Amino acid sequence: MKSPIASGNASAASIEAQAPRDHVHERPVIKISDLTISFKTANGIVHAVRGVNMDLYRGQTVAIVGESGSGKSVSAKQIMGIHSHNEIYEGGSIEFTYKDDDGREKTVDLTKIDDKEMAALKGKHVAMVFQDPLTSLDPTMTIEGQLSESLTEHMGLSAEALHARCVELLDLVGITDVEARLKSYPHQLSGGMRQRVVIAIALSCDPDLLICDEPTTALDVTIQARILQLIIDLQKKLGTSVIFITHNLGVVAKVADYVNVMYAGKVVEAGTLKDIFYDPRHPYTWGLLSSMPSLSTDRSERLFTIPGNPPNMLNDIQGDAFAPRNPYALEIDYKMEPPAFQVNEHHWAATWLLDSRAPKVEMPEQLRNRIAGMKLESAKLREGDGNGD
Amino acid sequence: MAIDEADKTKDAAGDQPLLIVNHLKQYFPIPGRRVVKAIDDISFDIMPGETVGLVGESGSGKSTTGRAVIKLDEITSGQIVFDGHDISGKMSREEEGYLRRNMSMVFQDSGASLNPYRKVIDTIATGLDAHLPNLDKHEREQRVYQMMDRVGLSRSQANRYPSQFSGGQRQRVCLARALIMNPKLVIADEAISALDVSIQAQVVNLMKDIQEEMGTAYLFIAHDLSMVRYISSRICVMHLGHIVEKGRTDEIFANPVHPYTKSLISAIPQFNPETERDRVPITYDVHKAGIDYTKGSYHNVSGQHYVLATDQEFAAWTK
Repeated sequence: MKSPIASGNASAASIEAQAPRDHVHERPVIKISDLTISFKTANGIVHAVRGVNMDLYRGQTVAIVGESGSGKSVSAKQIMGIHSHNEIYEGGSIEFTYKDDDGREKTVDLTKIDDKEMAALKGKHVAMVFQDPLTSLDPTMTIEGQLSESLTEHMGLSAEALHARCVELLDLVGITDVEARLKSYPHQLSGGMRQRVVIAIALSCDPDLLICDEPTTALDVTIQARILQLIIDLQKKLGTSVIFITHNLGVVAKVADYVNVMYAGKVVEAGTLKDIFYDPRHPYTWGLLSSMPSLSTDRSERLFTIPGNPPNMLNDIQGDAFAPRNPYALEIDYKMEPPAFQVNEHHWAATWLLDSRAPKVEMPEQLRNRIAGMKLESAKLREGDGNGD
Repeated sequence: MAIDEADKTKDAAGDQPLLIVNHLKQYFPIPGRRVVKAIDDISFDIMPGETVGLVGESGSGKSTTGRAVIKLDEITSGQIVFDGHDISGKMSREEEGYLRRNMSMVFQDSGASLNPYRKVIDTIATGLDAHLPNLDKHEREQRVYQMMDRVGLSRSQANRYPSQFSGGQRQRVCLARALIMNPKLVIADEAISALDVSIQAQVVNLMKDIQEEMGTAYLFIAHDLSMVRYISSRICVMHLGHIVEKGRTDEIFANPVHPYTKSLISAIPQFNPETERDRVPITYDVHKAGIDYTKGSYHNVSGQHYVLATDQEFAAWTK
């Protein structure tokens, strides 16, 4: 299987390669359709996920971006079969396609299977890396013990082969002095090292799908850079499909092939990395892109902000959930929910602004300038590459 | 009295630093083991109305510095001069009162730093109750309302509890509490790190506006260099208890000299997908590089830009 990001080092080439391939003959690894999840709380029903649609193809990385409370983690946890006691499944499906032990392609709906079937998939075919490595590791168990757990469960290796696999895994995630590390306990390792161990555990059974939920948010920037590089390298090497949840758009630019922007329990815009960063269409995406200062932002300029606060998910939302914060909101936004408007074959956005009857609205000037700057920068880089050859 | 004079001559004293930290050391003894040198000889200053950014990885001593400056911890040695008062040793009652009125702090976790059983009106009025206990009820309320307006909270929210607010709103409450006495210096320790991107921008803009209106100085402690660059006029880069590089923001970003600063700047994920994908950040390992911070001294790069290095290191880095 040729991974789309494995082709070529030139940045231009790798970006081109991200345009989705002809998907007609390929089943997505994950196909989420109309997923709707609510939570029963003391204050009422929280409508956390309100009809999410998302596809992920083999060997690709899909990023889910959004603010806290937008439903990105809840959606991902459904894939892993992690449910909380007050959760209400309201509808939708998550089709997961994987290769079973005989190498045959198999598709299951993760919302329909029971705990036993889920347990057989967990760790072996789907694995997850969480934000805080200290809480995902067991403080009373050695690293080797924790690495072996899922291997013993799913692979049935001999003691010798098990140890060899543990050594191999720590090697893979770039940990040196492996034998000593295998005998250590989590508290003896640094934060970055712990997250490497967590990634090694997640990859131990060579899963088809890896879900990373803010894996670098708790880490320092320098460590974050190394962990991101590690995830990218491993994905190239193993061809794993990755769902990457983050609120940091810089991280998205680094790791993703495809981006889903979530707001108030829905995906409001989806497209390739290039679509979202160079040609965003949803006003919320504009706001997100504008509000993060880049290293070239003029310091005397005010930071762009999205006015107001995210909606209270306890209330029934009529029309477009973003409308009250949207300076470009139309009358219809308060009445009717916008459908997904297709921008091109791999890019869509749910905003009435894309309707043919809507007034023409351009993205804010500040953002337009920033995108122009980015394009110029890339052009320069490509030119530099050309001269170098 | 010196305190009143300082108040009146606020504008004229533009060239006198508001805060001077001189050779500050903060050691923590560990039972049965050596001491942890959380801060090992750092010096910096903050001018009135200025924002100084303190950046570095976890464990670099940046939060300890903030705590030492506002006297949450008793310092090991060194000198802290705030607005002409030496506050490093034991303070008189009067000095302590002056310090508490004029310096305040905002913490990272607004959920943990607010009392869940107190209405926000009482939380914001904490400073008023402590320093102006004779204020009549109406006046107290009015001052809280004014502060709430200023930080973008509505007056109707005054009688609510912290749990009824979102993270961004809670951080506004913390900011209102910190600003109610109109302090000269606010220490913001990762004050925006826990907030969502769009809310971060709101709070940073608010902090900048308040600074322009009230002339508040900030010590802005953070690990997100892109936000620090945006808000600070000067930056101190901390690593392992030392300030390894300091200078004006534009000097540091245009010409980072210390390898640690370089690695920090290059580690910030950039926005541009085309350039970001194949960019390999610079890595830095103090042990591999063989750098001993205690052997270095401050070398001037240009203007206010200083770097901690030995003569050989400085020569090699600036070549």
